[in-house]
Amino acid sequence: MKSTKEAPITHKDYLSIGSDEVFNALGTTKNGLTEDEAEIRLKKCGPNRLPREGIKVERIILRQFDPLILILLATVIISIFIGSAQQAYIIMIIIALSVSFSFYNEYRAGKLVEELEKKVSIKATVTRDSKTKEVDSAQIVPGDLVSVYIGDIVPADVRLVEVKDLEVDEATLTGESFPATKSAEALSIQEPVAHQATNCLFMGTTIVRGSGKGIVTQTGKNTEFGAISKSIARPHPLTEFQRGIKSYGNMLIILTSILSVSVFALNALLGHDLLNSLLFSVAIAIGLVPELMPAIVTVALSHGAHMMAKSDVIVKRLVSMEDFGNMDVLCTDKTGTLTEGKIALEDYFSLDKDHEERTLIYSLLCNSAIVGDTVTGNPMDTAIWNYARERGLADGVKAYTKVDDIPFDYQRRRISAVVKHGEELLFLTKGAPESVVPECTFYDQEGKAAGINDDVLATADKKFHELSESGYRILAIAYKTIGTKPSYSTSDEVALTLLGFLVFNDPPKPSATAALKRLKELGVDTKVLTGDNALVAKKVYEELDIPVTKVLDGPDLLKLSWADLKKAVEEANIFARVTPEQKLDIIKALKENKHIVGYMGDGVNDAPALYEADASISVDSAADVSKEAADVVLLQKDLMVLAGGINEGRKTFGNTIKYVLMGTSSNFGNMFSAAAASLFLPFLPMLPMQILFMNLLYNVANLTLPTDNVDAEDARLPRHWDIPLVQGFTLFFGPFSSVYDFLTFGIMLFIFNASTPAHAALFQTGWFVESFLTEVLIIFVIRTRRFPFFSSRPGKWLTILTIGCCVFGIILPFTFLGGFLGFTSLPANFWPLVALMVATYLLLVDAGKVFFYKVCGF
Amino acid sequence: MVGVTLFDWYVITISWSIVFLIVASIFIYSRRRVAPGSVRTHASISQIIRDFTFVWILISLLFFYIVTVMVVSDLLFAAGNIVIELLLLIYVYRNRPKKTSHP
Repeated sequence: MKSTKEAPITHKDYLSIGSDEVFNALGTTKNGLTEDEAEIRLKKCGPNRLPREGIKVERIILRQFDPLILILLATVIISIFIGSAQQAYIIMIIIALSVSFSFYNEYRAGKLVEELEKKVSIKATVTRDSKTKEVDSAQIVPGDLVSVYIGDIVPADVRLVEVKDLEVDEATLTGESFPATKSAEALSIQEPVAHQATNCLFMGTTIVRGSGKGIVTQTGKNTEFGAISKSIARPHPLTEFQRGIKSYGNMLIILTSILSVSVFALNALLGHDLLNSLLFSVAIAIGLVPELMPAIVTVALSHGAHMMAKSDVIVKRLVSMEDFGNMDVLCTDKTGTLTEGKIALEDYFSLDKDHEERTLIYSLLCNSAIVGDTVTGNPMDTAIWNYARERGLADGVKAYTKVDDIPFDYQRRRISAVVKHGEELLFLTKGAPESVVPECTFYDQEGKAAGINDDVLATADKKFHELSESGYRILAIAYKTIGTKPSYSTSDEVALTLLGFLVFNDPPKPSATAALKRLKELGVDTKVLTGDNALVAKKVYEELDIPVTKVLDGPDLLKLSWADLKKAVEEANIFARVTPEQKLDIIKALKENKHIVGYMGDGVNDAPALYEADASISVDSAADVSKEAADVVLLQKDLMVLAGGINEGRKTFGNTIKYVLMGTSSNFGNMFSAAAASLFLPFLPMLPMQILFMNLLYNVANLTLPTDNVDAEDARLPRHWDIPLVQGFTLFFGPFSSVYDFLTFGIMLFIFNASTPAHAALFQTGWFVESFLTEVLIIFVIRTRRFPFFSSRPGKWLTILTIGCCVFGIILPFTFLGGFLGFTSLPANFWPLVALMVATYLLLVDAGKVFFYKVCGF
Repeated sequence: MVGVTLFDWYVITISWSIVFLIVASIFIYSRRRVAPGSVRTHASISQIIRDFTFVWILISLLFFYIVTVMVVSDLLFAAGNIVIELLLLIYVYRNRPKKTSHP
């Protein structure tokens, strides 16, 4: 790249020129950019990422001003001119405090989520200073020479200079569901549209077959994807949890509208002051509407995500936490979950000789690992290189020159390469024995090809079974001599000479037994879906002392009807040699059986299953496409980490439900009592500013709810959004606080004689104190299904803040602020009575729980 | 309102809220859930009476709250509350789960 100003604007400028010219035009070479040049370009062009939607402060502020707040503000402004200016100013201060409080919490939660998202990054393979390595895709710059392989998400717009059977899923860009075939040839099309640019790759598309190399032409927002990303963004469908919260909110809005309109109309009919009646009914509506619900849900989810991040579980989509916590079946692969995931080459041999050197050398040549100072890429290919390097055997490859290769795919389950050795051209194939051996018509006998026969096959099969039963994973390697051709393809993978086998070991992970037991305790059944053969999977289960209920392999599954498959997926816990399509079928069958299915996968072939599962989990080291498809990413591939995450997800769900149940009980009862009292009292039972202030204090007390402890028995099993429970709870627990509000009215009217407008402040103060204490303290009863409620320990911060708010509410009438809000001192004998009333109320609700949960079984 | 005293209002509202609670209890009881795998059986009269202990408590409370406010005695109110609290505690303790297991 001579300079950014001289650089062409889009990929179209590179379509019609040859590869060499592309290198020149972008100021790079076949060795890639130098690190220094890459750094300069990064400073000039900025990081390779799309501008994020990010937190929009103005949007969060606007969200705080719902219609009710606006009506209240309008009423307040009117009352400044024609009513009580003092009350109007106080109400405005309370609104400002409420809005700021809610804004701060939503903003802080949003920031936290942004921080978490940064922990999951997409990698790109780049060649710089002749060295190929993986870098964060944000570090890619125009001119970088990048390599792409099956499963990669293309990191930027790229002009291809080298391809091998390259097919790309460009649906995100073009909507075309069939993969596009790519080449490196120059094109003569003028002004092509994306799908015609066959020698280019576009950011965000996915490699589905083959491999390629190319030079980055554009990064970040200058890419084709950057230009259209806003227009193709689609919101995710609502989860069951979101739908539940929404319908609950709608129910309260309807109730609120009916109640507040009725209160205003009745007060007006009774001849009460119109403006005060309007303020009062709007204040009641605000007291009823769970305006803190979005903030509480966001804070609860982000708190849960933060706690999960501490256990190395990153939640990419917050609302998916509920499904994550509720899963009752987990489908996972074996490597890294039940095994250590540290695959090591243990042995290699030909059919007639142990440690046959060519077996190792051919395996190094027919290999997809990225070899630099360190070796990365496919774990088995990496293991071969590590083995050879550690023993000084890797130099053997220097006698060979690579001519071509045919990448791995999940249909063939093998990889091939063409190498030159002296004057001889060799075609090498390596892969699963059952996919390589059938293509062999010869076997290697002391360096010469001999016709394969049943005895040889039986010997190979016996050896394969013995090793598999011992838990080893096996690859076969075969070869043939081949003539020079312009290109080589999968059709050349025939008439091979079977050379030998490579034996890999991936020891079982001792902690897996405890992790599976923990998942079982959490009500999650684990099923292993592996590409390995059944013998290896069974051996791992045996070594871990995990019972095998039934083993099914890919060919078995093909024979089953859909109805039989639905039955079989319930019985089996090992599915071996399954294809990506079969993984998808297993998940669909489990979902049809009414399970909430989690799927954990890290391979390219896992992406469809991840999209299908209710809870999709991947790991940070996974293929880009899997990471992109997953809602949750584990920084460590460990089932125990996953179990911790599930537990945290359930706690989050449990704490959110507590807020919902709180809103349906004391809060609703208080506002209902206020409405009823306003009809028969010669004064307002509570001033609008007092209602709003109480609401503010109540919201402050609730804010630590997301940090509350959740009883072990509540987190033990999957829970769902239970609408009949919420409805029953509203119906049953709603009237409790009304009973005690009316009782307080009786006490204030008849024991303390506060029945005339002259004693309105005394009445209002008495009711404020009782109403606030019962409204806030009830959380300690409702937060647990246990009885007596004090057998469950509440969270530290919830206890401190709730008790703190109660103390504040008690001393408020004696302060200057209390006077300002229209409160007055209460007589000494009020306090023991209110203490007894609150205690009776809490115990009565606890007794109600016995009836609701134990007797009625909710 | 004409002809209705504040005390009448008090009795009407507190009675209404407790009666509502009793009706809600009956409604919820009629829709009670059984453990997965079990079949709901008809409860005997003595079982229903036992299941409705909570409702008997509510009826007693209503009576107590009307009387204490009518006689205007804060001492009676305080003493009665203490007795009710003790009764409620006994009810809750007798019904507590036998064993709470922790993983």
